Amino acid sequence: MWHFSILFVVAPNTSAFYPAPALLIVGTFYYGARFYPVALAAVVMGAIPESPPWDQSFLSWNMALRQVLVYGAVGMFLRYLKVSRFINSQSDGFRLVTVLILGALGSATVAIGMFNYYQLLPENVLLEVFFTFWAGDASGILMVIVPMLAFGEFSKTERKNWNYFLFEKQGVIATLLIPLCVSFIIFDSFVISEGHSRFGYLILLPVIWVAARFGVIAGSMSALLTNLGASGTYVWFAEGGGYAPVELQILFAVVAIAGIIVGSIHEELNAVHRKILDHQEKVKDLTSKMSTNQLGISVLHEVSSPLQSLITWLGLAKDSVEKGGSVKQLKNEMEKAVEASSRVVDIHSKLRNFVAMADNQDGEVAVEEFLNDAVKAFENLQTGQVKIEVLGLANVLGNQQGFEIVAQNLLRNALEASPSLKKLQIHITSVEGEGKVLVHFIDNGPLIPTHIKDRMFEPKITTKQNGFGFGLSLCRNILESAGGNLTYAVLQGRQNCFTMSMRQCASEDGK
Amino acid sequence: MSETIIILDDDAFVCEALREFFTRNNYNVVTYSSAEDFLSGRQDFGISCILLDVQMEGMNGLELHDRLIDMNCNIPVIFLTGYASVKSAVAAIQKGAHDFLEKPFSNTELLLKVVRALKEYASTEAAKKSLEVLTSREREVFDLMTLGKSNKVIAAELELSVRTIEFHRKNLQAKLGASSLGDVIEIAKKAI
Repeated sequence: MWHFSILFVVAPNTSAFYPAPALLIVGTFYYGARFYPVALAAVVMGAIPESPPWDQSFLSWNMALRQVLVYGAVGMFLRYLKVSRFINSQSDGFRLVTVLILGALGSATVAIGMFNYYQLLPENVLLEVFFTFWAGDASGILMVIVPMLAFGEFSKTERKNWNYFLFEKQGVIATLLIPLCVSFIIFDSFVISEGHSRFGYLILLPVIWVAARFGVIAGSMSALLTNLGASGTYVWFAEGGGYAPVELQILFAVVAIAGIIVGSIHEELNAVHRKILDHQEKVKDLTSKMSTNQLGISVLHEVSSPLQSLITWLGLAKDSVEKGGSVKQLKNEMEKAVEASSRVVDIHSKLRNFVAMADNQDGEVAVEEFLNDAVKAFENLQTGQVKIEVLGLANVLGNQQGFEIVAQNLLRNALEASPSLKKLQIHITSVEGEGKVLVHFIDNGPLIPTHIKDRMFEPKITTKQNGFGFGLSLCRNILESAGGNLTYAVLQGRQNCFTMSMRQCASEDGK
Repeated sequence: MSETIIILDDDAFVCEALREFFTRNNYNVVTYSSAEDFLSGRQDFGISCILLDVQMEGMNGLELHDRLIDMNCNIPVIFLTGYASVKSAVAAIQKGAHDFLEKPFSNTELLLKVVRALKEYASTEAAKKSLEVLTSREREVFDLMTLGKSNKVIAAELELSVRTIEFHRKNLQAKLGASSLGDVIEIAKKAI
């Protein structure tokens, strides 16, 4: 990395891209003090192409030690602060940037102190070199630290998909090319031309855009590419251009900081968004459980009454047998017991249908198909008495058997409520809109009594003499569990209209 | 006059079965299908017990129980329910319900609870009635006695002599059929 940075040397002792210290920071941040010997070896080995370790001067060894100790300490401090490796909050972003800038400041101070102590540089350039060291190290570290952390995490994850891991969405790599191109264009167009160098900050725009849209890793990657593009243009084409090296380094540091800060804000907002979605799911789950619990309690209530009758009548029958009661009395008691048991059986069969429906997988259901199947179950209906009109081709999401049970229940209610079957007309229409399919069951039978209207979907509410009163409650439950609803309205003051609302299928072709 | 069982359940089949059962056990039985019917047609049933279904259309059993408490109705209430959460059962008992039965229950189980409820109610009513025969002065002495105060203290509080208190005490014990202070306190616990 030290030698890679030499590619971007823009002036003596000044590189526009100096990322090596980032490796030391990431190493100690990940592995703690154990990384120090590795770091020292890396620094010494990095100098081999120029001069082997045994030929290096005392000052070179001092400089190597400075890098290892100072940047190692920065990594250790980040570790102490428990900064997230994914920089997934604003505070992590700010802490990372602050610690890195201060770390680079510390390193530059030690370096200049040594230069001064050994009198290697004239005093009048010390300050300039100090800023160059500080800005160079800071820009290099800030540019590569997040991609390095991302790579470190990626190497541990099972999701061996760079595109997914780094950017979460397909096609982001393509968008990363935009900052690269923009930086080339800006630097080619402005920086190379004398007098326009002040427009170099425009390279910030694509970085901010990418970071705000895709997060801290993509933002930092775009900052890295932008800076590489710009420094490459500067080094190879501008030949010195209109920027002073230190200004260029500061510009690159600012670009990298923008990527980290804006990206970390995106990550925090994203985390909040995910938490909200998670809570929404939990609320949905809780609602569903409460609804199931409510249904369970209703069923318990419903079953308990006929069972109670059954037990009481059987007890009385037993007494009659033991005390020599009349046959007529015994017959009456047994008839009552049979009547009670048939009510239990009826509830049992309804529950069995419900459970069977729950066992079936949800999927795409053709509206016309389940309506036709539901109507077929009623043999006493005359031809043309039920008119089905399906407008639109969209299928619905849910359980076909469940929808059939609801449709059959609504039809049965209309039939049973009507005093004259011959005069009864049922019109079923289906319409689509806003992601829903609405199926209206309109009949000309007697209207639902006003005192029941508001509570008819509650368990135990019925208009039938022998009804259990949980048919409509069950129907609403079925539809709600499929993301829909069941409602009632009076049309033109004389028609009942029950509306099944169901989620529309996302497929474009409908059927 | 025999004791009365008041059945409140919106399930006609349950009402019919229980009516038959209690009639056969020599009780008077009245049934109501809703709390509103019961409140509008309420009369003095004498020694009685209410079998109250928790979940009824309109005013539910728990709401009716609250109304009965507000009306100072002391008839023992046994709740009948298809499903009793611990919370609702505890709440009802705390408010003074006599018992809580989950359907389905056996005839014997119900009968035992009803017999006990009626016995306690009868004993309470008897205690109340016995207090009615006390004179106002005797009642004052009775109230202070039940607080565990001695004749001397009672005499001081009522500004009477100790002998007068002893006289009232003797009379009231005779009227209540109580041979000791313990008996007096027992009557007070039932009646008040």
